[in-house]
Amino acid sequence: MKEIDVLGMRLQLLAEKAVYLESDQTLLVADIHLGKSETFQSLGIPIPNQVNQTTLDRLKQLCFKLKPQKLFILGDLFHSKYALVDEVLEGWLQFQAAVDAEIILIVGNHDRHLIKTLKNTSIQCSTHPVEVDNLLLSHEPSPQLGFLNICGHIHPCVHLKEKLDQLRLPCFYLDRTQNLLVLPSFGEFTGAYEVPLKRNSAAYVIADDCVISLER
Amino acid sequence: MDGDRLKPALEWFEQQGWQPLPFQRETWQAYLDGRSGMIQVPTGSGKTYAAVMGAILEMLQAPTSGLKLLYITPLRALSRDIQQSILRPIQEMGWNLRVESRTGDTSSSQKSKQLKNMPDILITTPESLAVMLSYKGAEERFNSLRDVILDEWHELLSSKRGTQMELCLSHLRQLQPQLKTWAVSATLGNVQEAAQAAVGIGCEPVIIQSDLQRQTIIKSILPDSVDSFPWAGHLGLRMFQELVDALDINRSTLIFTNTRAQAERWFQALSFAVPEYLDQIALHHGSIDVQEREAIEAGVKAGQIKWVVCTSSLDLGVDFQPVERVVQIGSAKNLARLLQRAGRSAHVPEGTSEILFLPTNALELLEISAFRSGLAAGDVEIRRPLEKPCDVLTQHLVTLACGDGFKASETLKTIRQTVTYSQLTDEEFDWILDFIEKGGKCLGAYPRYQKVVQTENLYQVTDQKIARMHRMSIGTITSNQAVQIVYTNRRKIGTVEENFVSRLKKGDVFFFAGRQLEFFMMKDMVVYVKGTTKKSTVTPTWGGGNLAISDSLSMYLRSEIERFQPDANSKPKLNQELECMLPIASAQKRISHLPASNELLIEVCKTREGQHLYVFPFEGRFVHEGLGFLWGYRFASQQKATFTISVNDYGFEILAPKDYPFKQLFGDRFFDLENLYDNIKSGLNISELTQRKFRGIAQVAGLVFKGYPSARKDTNQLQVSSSLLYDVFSKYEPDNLLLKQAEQEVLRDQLETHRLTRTLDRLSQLNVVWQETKRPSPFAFPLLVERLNSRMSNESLLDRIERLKQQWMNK
Repeated sequence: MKEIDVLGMRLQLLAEKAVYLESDQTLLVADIHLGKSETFQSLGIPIPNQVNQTTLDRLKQLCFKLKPQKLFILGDLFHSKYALVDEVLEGWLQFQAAVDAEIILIVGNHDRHLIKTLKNTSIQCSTHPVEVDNLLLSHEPSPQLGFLNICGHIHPCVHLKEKLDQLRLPCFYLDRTQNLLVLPSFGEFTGAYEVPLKRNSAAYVIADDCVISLER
Repeated sequence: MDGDRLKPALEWFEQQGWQPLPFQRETWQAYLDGRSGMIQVPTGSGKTYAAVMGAILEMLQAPTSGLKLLYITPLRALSRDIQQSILRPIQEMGWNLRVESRTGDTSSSQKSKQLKNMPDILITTPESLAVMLSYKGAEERFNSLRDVILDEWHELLSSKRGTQMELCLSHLRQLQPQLKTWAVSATLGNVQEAAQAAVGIGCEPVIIQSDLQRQTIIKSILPDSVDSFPWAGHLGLRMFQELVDALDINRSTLIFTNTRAQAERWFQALSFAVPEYLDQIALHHGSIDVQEREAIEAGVKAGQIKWVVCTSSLDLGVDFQPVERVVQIGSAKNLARLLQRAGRSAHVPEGTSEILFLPTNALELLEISAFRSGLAAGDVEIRRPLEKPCDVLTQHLVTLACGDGFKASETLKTIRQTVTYSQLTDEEFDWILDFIEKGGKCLGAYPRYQKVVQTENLYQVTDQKIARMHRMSIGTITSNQAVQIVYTNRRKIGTVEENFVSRLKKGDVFFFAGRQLEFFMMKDMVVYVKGTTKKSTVTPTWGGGNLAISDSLSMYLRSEIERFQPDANSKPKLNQELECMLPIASAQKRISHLPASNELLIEVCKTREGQHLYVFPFEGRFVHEGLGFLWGYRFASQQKATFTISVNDYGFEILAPKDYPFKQLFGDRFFDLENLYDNIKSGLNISELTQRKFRGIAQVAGLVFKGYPSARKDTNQLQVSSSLLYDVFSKYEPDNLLLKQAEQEVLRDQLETHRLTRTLDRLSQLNVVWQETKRPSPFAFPLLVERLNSRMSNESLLDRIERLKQQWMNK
């Protein structure tokens, strides 16, 4: 776990791929992509559906450990329209029932057109970024003056390379010039995109149970 | 009378002023007698007409409508030339036969016309044949088929495309039990097996070989003094003046290099050395745009282009009659390959092949010498069919399901008639059926999965969208991540690998396809460039791995070193190359030791970097990689340390921290065959290698969909990297046969573990000679200096990150 201070706020960057605000008892995750297996399956590619349960179990454990009051999901909770099938929704509803926190979903590009269906479930949705103190929570990066924007969508990872060895690892990405913090994707079966490490930015790399900072 | 049934062919030959060669007659007779088999003759000796005439004679004797002959070629570029060759006698004799070709280059309107009205003779590629089988109506379409010819079978045989061919053929034989198969192959060591793979099990193949004894002469371009000669290094451009002096602009010459990077560098060097000949010199390799390559081939035939710097891109193909000389830069690493390339230089079938060798470092002189011995002994490498690859069979079954559908037990019998799948077990077949029908063996894990549907024992793909996606991916066995490079006016130059392109920024300059190019921008997988005279800032890389010396050649290499041992009574008899190498052999003796054939030389040396261990089995880089990691593990399990392992074709290096006690820890158990695989897997980060192999397998088995050319919204949701797929399968389905195949491929292809066992066996019987050297010996030097392909062993993830982080911070 790594603690950082930005704009006067203390954030805990967890190796479980989440951010915890202890002062507010608020937990933040992004890019869960439930139902991605089912999407692939319906187009002829057999990805096992156990991924969904593993993802939800991880989130459940995290909630049991920290007992947050609020859980924000920064977009892409569901992967596509093929995800809104009984077995996937069932898993989600069981999770909701097991966890005490208030859950708010800020919709992302993958679940934006599922709004109508989502509104029929008991999931609290927001189609716009949400302000919490001087945090701006969104799915896609939306930096704004005076706020720390915490978002998802990018699925950041870092590519460390030298002549003899290389590693690609998921990370939290902090861009200090824009006051932007991007979360790693939480979902089990999600890919990642390399972020460039430049001046005034930092990557907090997740490896095993540790969060290691990389900044010059 | 025999003569009668051959009459039309003999008449046409007479018209050309030719005499049919004995092997040609033999083939036609065998064919007309209803036999199948393989023709193995050197390049340019009339094999096309040997293969094709039998079928044509049959067509003239008993004319019917419909497709009668399928001619399979591995390269679509060759289909044009083949079509012309086959058309010649047909047109000149006025025979009423239609010849067409069908490849990735054929237009879709032409293709649909063909399916409705098949020509008598169709020239096509393995992929295009598979696509044809994926349409309904195969039984009717192949109703009149009598013969399938497999060209360049030695090339296809040991690849997945060859496996694909075996499977397609088995299906065609199911439809047409009387079908004849004739393979055409160049030199290889396992003729019987290759022929059997072509004709299928249950058929006795006729093997036709020519008596043509073609002599191959090797000449070397040697440096004046080997002292100023590089002991290591790939390019050896220092010798280019000698090369230019040895070439003649009036004699057409093919200059072979081993990699595309080398071809580019040598072409660049030649263009600087003799700019006055620039319009007569060309560069030809797999990444250069197809049209440009065709233009070069035409230019050579017409005599306008005299020198072509090329790679294996010109190993296959219709013979260039006017090529007078062949040059090989660096060791060809493989006897058969060398023979084939040398064969391009003979004018007529019985001529002498000559090849000019240019060594690029001192130790290669040894390899050239080994080539001489190997060729003199008539030894040539074997090419084995693969071992029941799961991914190819998966793709094939879905292909059949898209077409007329298939019944399980009948199809299993048919598949077992191929050499590659003759040992397929019931369990393995069932696993694949489950995979394509239900997604896998875990019940309930694939609730939304649909691909192949079973109704009353018949397996079919009923969803047309799935069928279309499958047809699009049938060619995946050959495709790789290539990015187009074009000028800003959209004129095509060639392709490069995605890895290289991802690093490019505006303004970067690189040398490619023989010219200086400046990166302008990239859009939609196409890179736009401008010509420039600025200096290069980046160098293109190609993933294509290094060649390793074959096991046949390794054997000869070891005996070459032996020739430096002075005989008790006589002076050593040395050829040119070994004479040239004498100073190096003396240096090796002085600094270290020159191993006899019953000795294994192990050197230890201390430098500022640490303690070095050098071992010289002379077995090729892949075996050395396995051996290096195996011994790394066996050392580390006694005394922990972080090692760096380096390999080349002559030996391997283990670099350890200072004062590491290699000699103390070494013992007989290092030659143990027990726990071989487990030890290697522990010493090496095998999951990283397996992941890379899995990429290709996933694509062939239909787990990755590359998308339609005009990307539709649906398929954006299917974006997934192969490493992600690998992770998901490793975690939730560790018994997945495709994962197992990836691991087997790593062990077999990359580490050559079957050779490793034989090597350990051989090494265990040698006397180990330990030499402590004050400085690196000539044998050790290339390993010390190059250190290209090494990887760390036994380091934890966190240690690795720390190390990489330090490096990154110090940049």
